[in-house]
Amino acid sequence: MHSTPRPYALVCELTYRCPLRCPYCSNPLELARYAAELDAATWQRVLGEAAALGVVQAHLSGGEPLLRGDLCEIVACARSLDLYTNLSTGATPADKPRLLALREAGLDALQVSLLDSDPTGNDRLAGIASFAQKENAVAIGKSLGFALTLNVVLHRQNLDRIEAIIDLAVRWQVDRLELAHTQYNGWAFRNRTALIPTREQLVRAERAVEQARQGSARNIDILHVLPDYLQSLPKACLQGWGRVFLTVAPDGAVLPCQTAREIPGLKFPRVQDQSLESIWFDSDVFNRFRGTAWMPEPCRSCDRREIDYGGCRCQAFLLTGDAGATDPVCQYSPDHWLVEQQLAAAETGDTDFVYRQMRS
Amino acid sequence: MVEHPVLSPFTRYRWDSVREEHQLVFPEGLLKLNDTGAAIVRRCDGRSVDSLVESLAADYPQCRRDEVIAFLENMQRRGLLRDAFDS
Ligand code: SF4
Ligand code: SF4
Repeated sequence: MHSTPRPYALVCELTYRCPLRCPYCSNPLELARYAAELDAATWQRVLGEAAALGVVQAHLSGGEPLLRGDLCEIVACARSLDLYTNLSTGATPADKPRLLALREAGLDALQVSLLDSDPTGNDRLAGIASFAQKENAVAIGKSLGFALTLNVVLHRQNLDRIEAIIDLAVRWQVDRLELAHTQYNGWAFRNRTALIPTREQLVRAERAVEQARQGSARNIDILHVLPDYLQSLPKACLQGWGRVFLTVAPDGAVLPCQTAREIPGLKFPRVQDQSLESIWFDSDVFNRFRGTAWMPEPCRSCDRREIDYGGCRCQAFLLTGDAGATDPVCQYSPDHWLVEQQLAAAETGDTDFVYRQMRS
Repeated sequence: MVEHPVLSPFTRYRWDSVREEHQLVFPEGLLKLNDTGAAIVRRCDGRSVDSLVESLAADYPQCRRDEVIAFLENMQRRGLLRDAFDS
């Protein structure tokens, strides 16, 4: 039988359409190429195949999944398969009847994105007035008994307001607060110089999170995901390629990771042509960076190879041009200087003091 | 420590028929349970910890009280349990 592990989580990207225009969006840059969307019947088949393959959680995301009129049918199907379902939304199309219908269809958890604690800042970053809708969706979601996560993507432009962001989460009484720094893929790679925080900002932010955890926000589960570029060791991106996650894109392409389309030369099988099981176990793309056999040095002989799996493939490609390279975030990577160069560029306008800290 | 443990409203127990294992699933992930863990979770229905331990001992005589308490405390720390009489 297969020695390959079975996936636990399926990310269903129901649409790339979205009323927001976040500068760090990880959706593909050429959106128009992927305009066709799978219909509800196909999603229902995909969910059935996923459950049989061992998937436990279905993450419904996008784009903005609430733009799909058939969302309830998809949720109800996931529930009938005993999948735990989570909806990630920017909340602009959310209202009470809509959220109530989703609750009744069996949706378990709601994740609302917020761009900034300050309404004007939020609306400016999102490119559309959306703060009030987000606040409203959180309140309705709470009253309906959803597990409620507030998700704030952090970067240089909002990091100094981290205390206010945490205060807002406390006031809105969310269950979880996800503070995740931008991943520098997709649009964020283009905008990275404006998004990468300074070391000084980051140190302050870490301190603020720690204080909140002990104090005002002790009832909230805070997840603080640090920015890759400022770490010396990479994260286990996806907990390893083809190990835990799979993503089905709006057009039916099956991706090991949501941003894998950025890596040229990979062919993504489609759910219209092949079963999820054969794609997961047998396709070239899922086997390409699975396990440790594909690794170059220094990963191949490193003790951490089954901890971080060599880091992020998309990041390796974006920075070095080779998706099979050690993630340059890693201090042992021969390409690590590329990351330091990016950081130096991002420190523009700051004093020598910050620069010196960065080097120390 | 909770006195009358019940699963938090976002936590769901399920039997994974593909992997043949007990699981507790919550928004950010899941926890695999062994048979004893599952037996404890099945009894988290608002009864008191004492009666939970007593009923467990009938089916799992090797199970010690302090182990059950440690297991419940760990679940509570992860936000998976709450007290049936808390609002
Ligand atoms: S809400 Fe999500 S999909 Fe929409 S623009 Fe922002 S990051 Fe992209
Ligand atoms: S060398 Fe490779 S396996 Fe080792 S820490 Fe760096 S990225 Fe991870």
